[in-house]
Amino acid sequence: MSHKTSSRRSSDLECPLASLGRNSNAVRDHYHHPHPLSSSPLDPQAYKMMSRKSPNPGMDVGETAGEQAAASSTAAAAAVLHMVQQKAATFELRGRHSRPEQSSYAAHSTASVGRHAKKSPELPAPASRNVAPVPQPRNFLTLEHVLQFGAQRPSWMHGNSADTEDSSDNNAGGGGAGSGSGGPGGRRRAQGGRCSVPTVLSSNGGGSNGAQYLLDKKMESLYLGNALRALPLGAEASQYQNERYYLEDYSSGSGNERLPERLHHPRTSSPSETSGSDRYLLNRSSNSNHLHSKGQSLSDGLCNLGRFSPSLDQGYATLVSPSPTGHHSSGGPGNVTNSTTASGAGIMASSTPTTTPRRGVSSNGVGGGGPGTAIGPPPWNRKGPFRCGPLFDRLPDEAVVRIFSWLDSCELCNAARVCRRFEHLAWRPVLWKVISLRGEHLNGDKTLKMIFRQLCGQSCNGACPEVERVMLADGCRISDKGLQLLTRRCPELTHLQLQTCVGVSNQALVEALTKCSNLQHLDVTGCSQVSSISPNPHVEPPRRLLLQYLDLTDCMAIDDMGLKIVVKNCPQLVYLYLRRCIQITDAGLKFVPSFCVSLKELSVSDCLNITDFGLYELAKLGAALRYLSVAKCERVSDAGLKVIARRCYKLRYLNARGCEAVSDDSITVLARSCPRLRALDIGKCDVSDAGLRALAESCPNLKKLSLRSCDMITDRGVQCIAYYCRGLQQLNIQDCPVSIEGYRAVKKYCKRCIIEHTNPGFC
Amino acid sequence: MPVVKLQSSDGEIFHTDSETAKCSSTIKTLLDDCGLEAENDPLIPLPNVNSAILKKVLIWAKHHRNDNEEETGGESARPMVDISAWDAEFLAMDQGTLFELILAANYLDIRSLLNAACMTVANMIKGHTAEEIRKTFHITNDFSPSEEDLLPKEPEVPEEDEATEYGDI
Repeated sequence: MSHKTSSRRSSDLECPLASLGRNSNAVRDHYHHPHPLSSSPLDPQAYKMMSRKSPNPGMDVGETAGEQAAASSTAAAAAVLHMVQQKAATFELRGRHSRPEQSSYAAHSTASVGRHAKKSPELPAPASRNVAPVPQPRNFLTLEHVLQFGAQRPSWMHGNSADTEDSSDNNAGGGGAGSGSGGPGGRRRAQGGRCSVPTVLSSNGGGSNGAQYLLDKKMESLYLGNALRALPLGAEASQYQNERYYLEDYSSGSGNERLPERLHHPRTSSPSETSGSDRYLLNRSSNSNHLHSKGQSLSDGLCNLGRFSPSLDQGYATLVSPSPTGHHSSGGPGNVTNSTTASGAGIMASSTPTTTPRRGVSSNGVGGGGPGTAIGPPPWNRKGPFRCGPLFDRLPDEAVVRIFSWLDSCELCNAARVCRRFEHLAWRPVLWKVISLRGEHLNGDKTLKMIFRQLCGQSCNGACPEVERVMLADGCRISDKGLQLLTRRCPELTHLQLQTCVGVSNQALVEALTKCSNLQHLDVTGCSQVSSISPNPHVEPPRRLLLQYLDLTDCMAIDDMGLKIVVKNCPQLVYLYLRRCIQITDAGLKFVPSFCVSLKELSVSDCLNITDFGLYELAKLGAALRYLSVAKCERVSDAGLKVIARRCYKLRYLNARGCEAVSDDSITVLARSCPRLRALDIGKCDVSDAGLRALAESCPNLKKLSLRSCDMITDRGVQCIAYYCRGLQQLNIQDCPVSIEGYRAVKKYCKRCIIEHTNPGFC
Repeated sequence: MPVVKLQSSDGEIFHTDSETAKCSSTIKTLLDDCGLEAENDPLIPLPNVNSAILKKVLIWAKHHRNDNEEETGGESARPMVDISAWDAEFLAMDQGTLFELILAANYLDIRSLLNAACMTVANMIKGHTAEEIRKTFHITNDFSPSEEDLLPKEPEVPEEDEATEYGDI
């Protein structure tokens, strides 16, 4: 059989379509394989029409429209064929899985399939076209495309129908092989034509009818062959599970052996499979309509299961209950889906004995094709790219991954829902170094669970060592459960941000810190239960944490003892933020400089218990301290600030907003001691023009200055600042008695300065 | 300045200075390591890039030839955040060409162009639903409806019962 290839090839060359197709990219791979449509006379005009709707504009630069059309149609035809095969193959796997549970369904459906078979020849194709606009566009288009094909060449089908039928009955193996072999080409056509043929040409229904019938027959034989194949080889299934199905290299390997069949049944597959999938839609919409043919329900089953089963390799298998309800989205249409599924299984089971030889034939035919290229074998047995449209199909995986690298976690999840290839690529661990979830609409526990299930699989102790940063912010919260999961899955975590996770307890955090020993950056802002940061206290000798960044803002449970434990365990801290930790007093603050000698940034803003004594202690940090915020620590006065200023002379940033006891006295000392000051907030302080003058003369690097609500400040002070600190970028003079003159001075000298003010007269 | 000749897949030959050509690491390797530069008038065939795309690539390379190598090469961990105005305008092209450009940049190993083009595509993906993405890029949904149900839900979907459960904690 397989040797007929060469003899037929020459005749194919005469077909205009074939010669067109050969030059195009899509077909180039199949150079030696006749186009599935090539033996049928196709009006070039009609072909042109289709070509105009070809979906990949600009991709095939330099090719003529005709070539494109040929390419896309070839591709589509092959694609459809391939899908048939693929689904059939898939089904065998699926069928095996579900057989025990569904035996009763199976029996029932076998019967029903038999019934349908009688009706199949009369099945009106136009009817399916009429119903086609069912709201499911993706199948719809393909169907139309295929129908259109059928409509254009009715003569062929009538002529060949008997033939084909014959072969499918007598040469069951060959039939199966034939439809299988058409695979690559057909699949491609489906791809190419998918979006491109939105309209239905008025067509001769009889033609497609006949074709469908033939195809149904073919499908059945193919399907039976596959089902049969599946039965004796229990172990093979597991192998399939680990591999994504696919088809690209299909043509290259054993294409030659398969050609004869394809020639015999030139259009075997495409209409049937596509219309099959469309009919599946029909079924879903018209629940109790029994007007489908045997092949129809068969293909429904194939379609359904075939699409379904590849998910097995993703670990979904455990999620999917074998019960019928697991297989479809909504209740109503679900029934039909079930029945088709079950009927598929039934056929498989019942037909096993009779089809044994077929399987032999088909597998023999492929023997030479090398491993995995066999006709019968499931396409996903072979690794290969997934299809995702004319644009992304051209990109190698690495490029798609690079594109994905710009997407954040939510967008990646979304992209994974687009198609199989996207799903495959979007879950590459390399894209998940940072998990960032933001927004109140997200449930952190659930989302994390879902992400880890994708990344680590189902195993309960699988880890994702690639994940380095987990950021939950803007209302996305987790509970202890989520944190425990996170801890278990991400041992290599370096950054962890848990904002306002009020449900996170001390214990869970301790566990996290114990397990994620590489943690450097921890932000537990607003986790109100957290009272301390320490690794497991029972470990002896106590283990030090590597934390360099710790944000305990709004952790109101932290008291002096908690703070002591924190700083004791985190000697490497560089950044420490204790905003609004209202329980902290000078006694707790005392421990900070004694343990964290390299602290660069510290904020104790709104810690109302902090006094000058606390600042005396902090001053021990010395030159290391660059950033200090004592905003709204109302008990801080000149005395404390002066000590800080003298000892921490490298200060770049100081926030003393709202410290009303701070006056010109300390500001003058500050200015003289810390000439590197870049940002200063002395809002509401008791500062006058004298303080500003000292600042202006000593701190030429000032970039940001806030004088908000300093009611002793006049135009003179502001002019002074403006004249000396030309690099000023931000100046806040809200609620200051500054007139338009001061404003103009700033405008004049500090060209890049943004002035915040509350005077409507300024412009 | 030494001139390099680049031959596109359709046979057209582009003359360019070697500095521009070396924006492509592939060509740079060819010239430096394989000693092609020593030759007079080296001709480099680029069978994977057609003339239209190569023209665009050269425009890009010319504009970016003075870019700091460290600056563009260093951010491999987290790529740049923004595209410059010139780049954005340059990349405002139809999808087909843009994807060809990505392919070419990938082949020629022009990191900056590859990043910028990929980012442009990523921006087309951002903020759209799966269905919209499919439409934009002509992607077939090859998930079955049942399978789709099992896909991890878009995290956007709020879970009411979870929310209440959350409150108790």
